[in-house]
Amino acid sequence: MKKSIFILALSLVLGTASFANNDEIINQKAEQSFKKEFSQAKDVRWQKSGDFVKATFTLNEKVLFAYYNESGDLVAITRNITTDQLPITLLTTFRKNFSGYWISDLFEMVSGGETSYYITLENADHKVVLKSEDFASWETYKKEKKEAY
Amino acid sequence: MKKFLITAAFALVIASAGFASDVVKVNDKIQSAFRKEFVSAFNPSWESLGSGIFHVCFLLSGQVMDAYFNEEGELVSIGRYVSIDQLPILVNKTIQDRFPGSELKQIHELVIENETSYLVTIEKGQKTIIARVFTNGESQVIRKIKNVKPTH
Repeated sequence: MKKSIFILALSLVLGTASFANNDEIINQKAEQSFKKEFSQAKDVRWQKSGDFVKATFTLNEKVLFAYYNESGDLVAITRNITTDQLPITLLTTFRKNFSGYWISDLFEMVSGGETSYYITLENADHKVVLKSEDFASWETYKKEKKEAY
Repeated sequence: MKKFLITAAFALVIASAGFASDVVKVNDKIQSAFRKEFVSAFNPSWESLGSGIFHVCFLLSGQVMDAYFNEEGELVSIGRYVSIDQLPILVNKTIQDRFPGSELKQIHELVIENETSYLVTIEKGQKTIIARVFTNGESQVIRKIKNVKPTH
């Protein structure tokens, strides 16, 4: 399961997960598991990518994404957020240390009963992905130098 | 256990505080710690809560924040009122599961000793409940108050 979480997180951060639309039932086990976990979900849409199926849905007027493996196990729940939805310490730490960057991606992820946050920052030269698992501090998850044109 | 009792007590003080104290000028240690911690803070307003604890209310990135310092300039706690949208997924789920059919009246995000939790005020039936919900989904009811019906 940990490997699945790692692969999923990495593909989401890198933007390499390509989920194809599919109106047919993709994975019956995943659907059953989803209905049990999110009984109040609305506007559910299923997509498939590699080893994962993704459910996009609305719950309490928020758009969430649930990812399942082929066995129908819930691997992670994610949602895209804005900086004011970051926990307070992560927000203040970010403001204090990364003022020279702009944000190109920010999402919250829940997997295995634990919450993590991934933020992608960019400046003219670098792209940096930070991760937090403790609601208090950021660690560098990935850093790359942008190619000069 | 001792740590939990201290933080729960502090959480309750914050939840119950009316903050009616006089506006004060704080010492240099506190001012310096505040400026270092909250670099882009705007419009700070200080007050003393007694027992050597000072509360500052300020704006940061367009949000109203609260911070609490002791006389040594140590940051004791940070807090802010948040909307349901600002709750982490797990915390929101805990509230929905633990208090179904209740009305969420107020949420105060609180960080004490680097631990984030959410003080939620919930109305359910004839009761107002103040509960502390932790980021791992655990929760603790701090206080239950029976609502008094207004007399005509």
